[in-house]
Amino acid sequence: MRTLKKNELKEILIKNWMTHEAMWFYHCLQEFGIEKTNRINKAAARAMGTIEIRRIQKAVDIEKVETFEDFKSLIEAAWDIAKADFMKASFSLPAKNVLRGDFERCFGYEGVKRIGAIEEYQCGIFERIYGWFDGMGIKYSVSPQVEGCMMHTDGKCFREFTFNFDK
Amino acid sequence: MSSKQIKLAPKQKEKLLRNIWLLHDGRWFLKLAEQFGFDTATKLNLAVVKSIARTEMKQLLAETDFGDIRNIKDLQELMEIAALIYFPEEHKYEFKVVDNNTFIGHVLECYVHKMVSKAGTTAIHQCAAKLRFDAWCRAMGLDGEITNERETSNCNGTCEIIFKIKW
Repeated sequence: MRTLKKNELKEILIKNWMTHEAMWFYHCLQEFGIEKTNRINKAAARAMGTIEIRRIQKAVDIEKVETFEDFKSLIEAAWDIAKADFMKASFSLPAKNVLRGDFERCFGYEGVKRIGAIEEYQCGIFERIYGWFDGMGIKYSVSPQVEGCMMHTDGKCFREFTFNFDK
Repeated sequence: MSSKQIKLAPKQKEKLLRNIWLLHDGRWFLKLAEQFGFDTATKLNLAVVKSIARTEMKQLLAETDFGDIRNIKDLQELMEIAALIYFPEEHKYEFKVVDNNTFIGHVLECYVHKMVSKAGTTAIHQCAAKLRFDAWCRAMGLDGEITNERETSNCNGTCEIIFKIKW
């Protein structure tokens, strides 16, 4: 037997967490169909994201997100905690008040495609991010507006968020 | 733009990840209970536990190259590793080998019971511990029986989970 390195442990935790979440999705889908499952999945992700970011804020001691720099620090910390290597995603801050998230591959898309529900799937991944912004108490606009799964319809996936921090 | 560089220790990250994972699981349960009632949420929760438990153990075995579990000492060693990874810090327990075929997990303070108590639903909650450990044993390739005589309604946050293994 070999001992797990810290990063491997993080990967295991996040992988199992996402698998656990996928199993909720799958069992809910079997019981209630895609429409209700989309609704529950998005609500659960958003509610979780809201509390998640507050816990991270507390851990990193950012009491309030008042400036774009506070925001940047918190997003970097949250990303460092929540992102695993298997999630082929990245974020950038191309200008003040702008955050862009890009998915090279999406485990959500791949999982839902495997269970045959991708045509009607509505993205739950970004709901978690919206939950983060709700938890921070900040306003934003997002582009593009996507109803379903962008990876499925466009073969790529991204969102650009614009904020209105004065400082 | 220079943001405050915040680095959490691996232990802090692990703790946050475990807690947020549980939080996400809890949001699924709550959203389902709100929409479809407690019985439906419980039914789905038990199905999900069964699926994820098998996966989490299989993954741990693969990542650690643990090899075959050939005797009660191997089982104890694996259970200790699994518990450290998958149980949150708030879960207090002791493991004991009774004889070559019997292993006991004595739960001193149960994290699930704590959450269920907070929600005020101990009278109707169905404990999934037996299901989870049954699935762990199957994932380990063991032939055995798991017993837990208590229910959430009468356990008061403590119980004895008995593993009887045929080698």
